[in-house]
Amino acid sequence: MKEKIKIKLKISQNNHKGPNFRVLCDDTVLDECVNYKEDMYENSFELDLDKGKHQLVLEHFGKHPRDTDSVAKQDVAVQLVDLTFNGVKCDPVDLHENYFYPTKWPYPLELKMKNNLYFGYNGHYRYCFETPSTGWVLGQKKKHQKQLSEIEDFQISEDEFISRLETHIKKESNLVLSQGNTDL
Amino acid sequence: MMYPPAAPAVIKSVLTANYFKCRARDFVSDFYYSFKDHPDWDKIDNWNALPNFNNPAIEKIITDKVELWAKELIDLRSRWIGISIFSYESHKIGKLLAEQIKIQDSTQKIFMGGNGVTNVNNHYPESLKEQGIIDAYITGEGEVSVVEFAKNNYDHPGINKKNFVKIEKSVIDDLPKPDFSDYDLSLYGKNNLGVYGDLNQRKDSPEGKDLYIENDLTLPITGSRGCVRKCSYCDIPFLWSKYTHRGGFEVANEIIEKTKQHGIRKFHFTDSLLNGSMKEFRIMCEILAKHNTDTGDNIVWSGHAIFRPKGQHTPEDWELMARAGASVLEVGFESASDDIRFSMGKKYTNDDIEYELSHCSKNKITVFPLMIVGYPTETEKHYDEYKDFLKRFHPYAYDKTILSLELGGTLRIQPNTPDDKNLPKIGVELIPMPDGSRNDLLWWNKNNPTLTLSKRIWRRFKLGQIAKDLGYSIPAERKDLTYLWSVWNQLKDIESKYLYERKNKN
Repeated sequence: MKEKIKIKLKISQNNHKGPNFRVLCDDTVLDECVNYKEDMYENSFELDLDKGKHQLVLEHFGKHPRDTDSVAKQDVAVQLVDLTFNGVKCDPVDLHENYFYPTKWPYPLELKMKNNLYFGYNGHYRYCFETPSTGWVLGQKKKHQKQLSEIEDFQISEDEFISRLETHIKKESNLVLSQGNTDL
Repeated sequence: MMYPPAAPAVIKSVLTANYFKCRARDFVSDFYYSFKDHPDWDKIDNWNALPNFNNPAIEKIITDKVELWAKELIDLRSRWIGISIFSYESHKIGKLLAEQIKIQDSTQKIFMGGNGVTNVNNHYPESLKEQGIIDAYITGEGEVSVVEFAKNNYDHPGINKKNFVKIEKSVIDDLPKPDFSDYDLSLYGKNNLGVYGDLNQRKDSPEGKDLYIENDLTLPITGSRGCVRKCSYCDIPFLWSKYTHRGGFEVANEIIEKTKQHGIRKFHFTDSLLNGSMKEFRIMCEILAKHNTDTGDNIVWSGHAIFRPKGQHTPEDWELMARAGASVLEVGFESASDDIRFSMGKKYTNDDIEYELSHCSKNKITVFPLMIVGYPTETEKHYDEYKDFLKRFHPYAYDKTILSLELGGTLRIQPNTPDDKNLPKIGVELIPMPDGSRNDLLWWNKNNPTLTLSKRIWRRFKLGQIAKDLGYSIPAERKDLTYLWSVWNQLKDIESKYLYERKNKN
């Protein structure tokens, strides 16, 4: 089935070098950029994917720790801004729930990291999804939707509700009387 | 389910007049007829209105139905599918329909329109568009903008922005008549009629038999836009800054024409108020009264109206209204206290209400008063006045002049209303939701501190009990109870936390 994937990245670069990165779907390289010197990267890919599980991979490579210039506050990195499947944007929480796997870094790092879409180390960010992807993306949005005091059942009698209101009003009376003007 | 939705019929007519093809589909009626006998109908129906009720089993039932709607729409192979969003209550189902369309065909273009995307506190249409669930939205009135939209003029005011402009009277005068030809009109006017269902129960009662009107087909009709008042709680002046009437002659003739065309004799005005211009209103009534007398068609109509200070509606006006077919007038009394009603911008007293009701009673015109409980300045004294008000007017509930009572869901401070602007100046604080957004019901008045959300809801239901004991009918009582129970569960702790933090900060 045809799937249209759009990726948007924010690029960080120092005075000498831009990041190197690849976009892959499963094992297929969709695009590769070396020493990318623009501020943003945006690209769309039309893919024919079998129904099932897949991974969209963003690989950052070829960076050395000294590419980070903390004095000049410059870095070489890519930051995932948006990932869109068939026009529907992935939920930001969902993007943060997927892992980045650092590779080829001279200092010890965790095996995998999440909750950060700024990729300053070398490694792979893997966004796991299923096709058909529109339903998947919308399903993930629903999964991460913030719920406020979900109610399971709303069958309540008027008298019971009034009684609960009275209890609550009693509880809050000190709170409101102590800080309001009752001269009205 | 009293009458078919007007908006798609209007949109169809203007698009057709501009040589675009359009088909209107009412899924509200399909929703109702599909589920009305379902054992979980109450939950299914309430799923729409309650943002924090997302029972998976109920959601599955609704989603299965919406999938079929999506397929039906996609199969029409339209360039655009437009979804009319009437209010907050359409938000969940509107989003679900758009999602299902995108799941089945991600290339299908979708737009939304209606008041539910125009003046709402959350960023409903913006958020759906940003996420790619819809492709466009139209705010404000759609009659002109939908045509510009169809012509790909996406820069037209109101398209994908809230910078809509009010349409001119000359445009309104030239609009084609709404086209109801895509609807199965036999589905309407029979079931789930809300307050109008009460008329059905009058058939055999000695007090009500004169007021009984067979509940057969009803068509919506629009005579005017906007309102002559600028009531503090109301967003109508924001949406239509000036009251504009099509003309009593034109409106009466449209009603007569529709009666001849469809054999329908019941009409419901979608106007904010049908008697805003007494001049045009009298012209309309005179034509309809003459038509009723000459033909025996017995055309009847209902809609929002205003009461006025004693004497402005003359006894002759009331007689004329009755002969013209006035059956139910929905009137916003809003408060039982003169001082609060005046501060809201309503310019009549309880004595004026007495005068108007006496003429309604004499002329067998029924009234559906709309009330607000819990205005920010409402004190114990006003609560007592509410009780007195209910006692004073209960004879009109007994003789069925007051058809039913709407006590509502307590005061909402809506965006783009005078209340939204002015109440903070008298000490009303809008309590932010945890995500920074706001909820119309979540506010607190430091100068009337005991009137918390809980107190407002408590008064609402206590007054409901008193009203019912006095013989008033409150058809929306169960719905209000369900809604406010849900809302209270959602908001009460947010309010308490706000007040607690406020106290400790001070």
